[in-house]
Amino acid sequence: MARILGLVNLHSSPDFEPITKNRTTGTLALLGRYAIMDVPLSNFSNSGINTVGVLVNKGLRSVIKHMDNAMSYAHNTKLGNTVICYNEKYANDFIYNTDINNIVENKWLFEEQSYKYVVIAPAHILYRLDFNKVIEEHIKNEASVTCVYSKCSSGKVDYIGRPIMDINNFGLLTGIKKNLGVEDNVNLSLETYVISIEKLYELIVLAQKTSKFFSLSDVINFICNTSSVHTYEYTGYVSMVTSMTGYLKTSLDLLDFNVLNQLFNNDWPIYTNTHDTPPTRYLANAWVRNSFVSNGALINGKVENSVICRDTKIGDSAHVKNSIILSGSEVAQDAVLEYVIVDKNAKVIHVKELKGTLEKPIYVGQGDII
Amino acid sequence: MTNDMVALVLAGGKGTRLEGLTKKTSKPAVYFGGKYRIIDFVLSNCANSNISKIGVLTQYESIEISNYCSNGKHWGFDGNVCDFSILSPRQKQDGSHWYAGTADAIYQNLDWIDEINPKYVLILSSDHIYKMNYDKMLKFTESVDADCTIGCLKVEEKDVSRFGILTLDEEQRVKTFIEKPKHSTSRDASMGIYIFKWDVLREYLVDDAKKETEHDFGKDIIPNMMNSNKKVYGYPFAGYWRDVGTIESLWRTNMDLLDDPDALDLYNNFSGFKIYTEDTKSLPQYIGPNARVTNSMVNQGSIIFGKVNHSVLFTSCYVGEGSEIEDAVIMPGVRIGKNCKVKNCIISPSAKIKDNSELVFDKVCLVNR
Repeated sequence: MARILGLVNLHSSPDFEPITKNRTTGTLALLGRYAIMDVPLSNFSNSGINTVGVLVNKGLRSVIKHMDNAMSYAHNTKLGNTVICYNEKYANDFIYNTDINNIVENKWLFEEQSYKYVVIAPAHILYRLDFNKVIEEHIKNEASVTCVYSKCSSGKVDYIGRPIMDINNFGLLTGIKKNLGVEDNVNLSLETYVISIEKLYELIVLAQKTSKFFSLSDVINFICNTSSVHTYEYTGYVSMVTSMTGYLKTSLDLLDFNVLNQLFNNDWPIYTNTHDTPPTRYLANAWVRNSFVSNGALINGKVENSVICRDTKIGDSAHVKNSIILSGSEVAQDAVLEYVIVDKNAKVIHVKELKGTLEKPIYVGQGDII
Repeated sequence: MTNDMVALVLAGGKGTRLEGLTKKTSKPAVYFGGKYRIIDFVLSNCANSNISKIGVLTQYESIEISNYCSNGKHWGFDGNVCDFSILSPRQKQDGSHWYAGTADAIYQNLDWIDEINPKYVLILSSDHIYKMNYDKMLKFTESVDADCTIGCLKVEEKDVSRFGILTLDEEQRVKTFIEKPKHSTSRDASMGIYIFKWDVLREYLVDDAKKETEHDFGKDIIPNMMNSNKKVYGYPFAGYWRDVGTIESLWRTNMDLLDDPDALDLYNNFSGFKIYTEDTKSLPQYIGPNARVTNSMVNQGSIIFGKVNHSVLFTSCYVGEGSEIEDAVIMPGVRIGKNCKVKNCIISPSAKIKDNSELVFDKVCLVNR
């Protein structure tokens, strides 16, 4: 098999404050134990792609903290390698801080080994895909770029503002545009690309000459009518985390095993780092229903349709419903929470009722005591 | 700052009284506390006691325990100053010998210890559940310039016949040491934890190897040191300490985690140190729509649809709809079907319990795979 480099492109994941204020979207907790960037990293690992670069747009600290020594994702820790690529030059300049400028800055990674193809995947779009199938198609089609998409029949209401693709009858890309909610049937871009290393260099040079602000998706859009940009239809489960609602909805949807198993299962595990937390303790008044609970939690209240992360405390007679409680947080006695996202190490002590909605969840900031 | 002491962990025990649990597993590798194995406690203690040179002596069913310990990374012993070795009996120029006793096991690895050439060695058994800072015991040893220090704890009168019993003077120097006496006025029992000056111990090991003895620390080495008036001291330990050598005691000690969690302090609220173990690639635990989990400890990967009360569930257990689990220890990978009743037992790792099974016992017992 040709040598393949995987790239997790955190630049393509949109920020949505307040939760991404101190972190990049890719490090948002998933199911209490993972970060959403574990999904593309595990897709790479499960596809046998051993060398991965993570293009970090911001929140470098959160990425380093999550990835630890980054060896959880490598099949062989000598052959494998996970490299964090950060563009310090443009870190504080959000217009220049693009994926292409990041690749230019970290070009050594691409030159280090004789890679033939590069697979680029975002963190905020959760799907399960064996990239070998896309690479196979890419080679068969002699494509310059292959873009992965998923058909969506609710474009008028879902994925507004996200990139969608125009595809002609030959399966070639003719344009990438923003979904403005005009049509129901749209080809949702999964912002996932397969490209040969030579072509990637070519595109980078072209982008730098054309506009220094160009992102990878911009330059693909720019060349698609003059170059053979193929498409690959992905038909499985897709979920997108681009807003507080999307984050909460994705988390709650995954409480259904039928949904969850489409994203990962024993044959397609998800890898992450350990934190050495003891098992979770359920006390006499614990009443937990349809929820994921991480290790190290101490539960003595009611938890319903929720995701409870590591080392959290749910007090006596507290009631947590349709919510995400991130690690190290506490919901004290008698507090009633519905559609709430409690960020890390926060404490809900004095406020006894917080009720949001799925469309407008309430957010309790990192480390805040309320 | 790491100290000048090598820890030697005796992990070759068979643990016959643990019945089916040790059929294919050495006692130190038996699961405990929802996530851990028994050996995690001594190895985590070592990590938290600034020890960086560790030999794990294996014998009975050595593959699983050796695999589990690997390079010591679960406890951080893959650090840059560490030396972590699995010491199994080996073929040598003068033949091949199993470890004939605790002292013989160390004697057969003189070369490994000499290579490191430490000032002190710490001998540990790996059958017990406790948190202890061995560095403090070393400081004590240094302060009294002891040749040997024995970790000891207070036991009840009825239990003296199960332990090596020490009598101590006001300075904690050992006056007498008797293995498993029928009666004794002293309540100070040896925990099987010893710190020796390496040069002193080395002499005694070489001497003991030439004789027809049981090659045992408690029966041979320490009495010999006492006879030749070496400075042998007792070091009292007052924390939670349990022997989990039987099915009943293993079950009881798991239940202690539920009834008195502060005693062992797995949650690290008081002791300031963690117990480390291996990580598994499992999901967090999932509690189903009609489940009820109370007074229990549950580890990651478990999926619960039934009722669980006052029980410890290890990694990746499954409890089907309508099942009721009480006062039970459910080892990793156990699958309990629908409408089962389980009470007062330990269920062996990876056991499959069919739908509608009734495993309700008056006296705690082991349910084999």
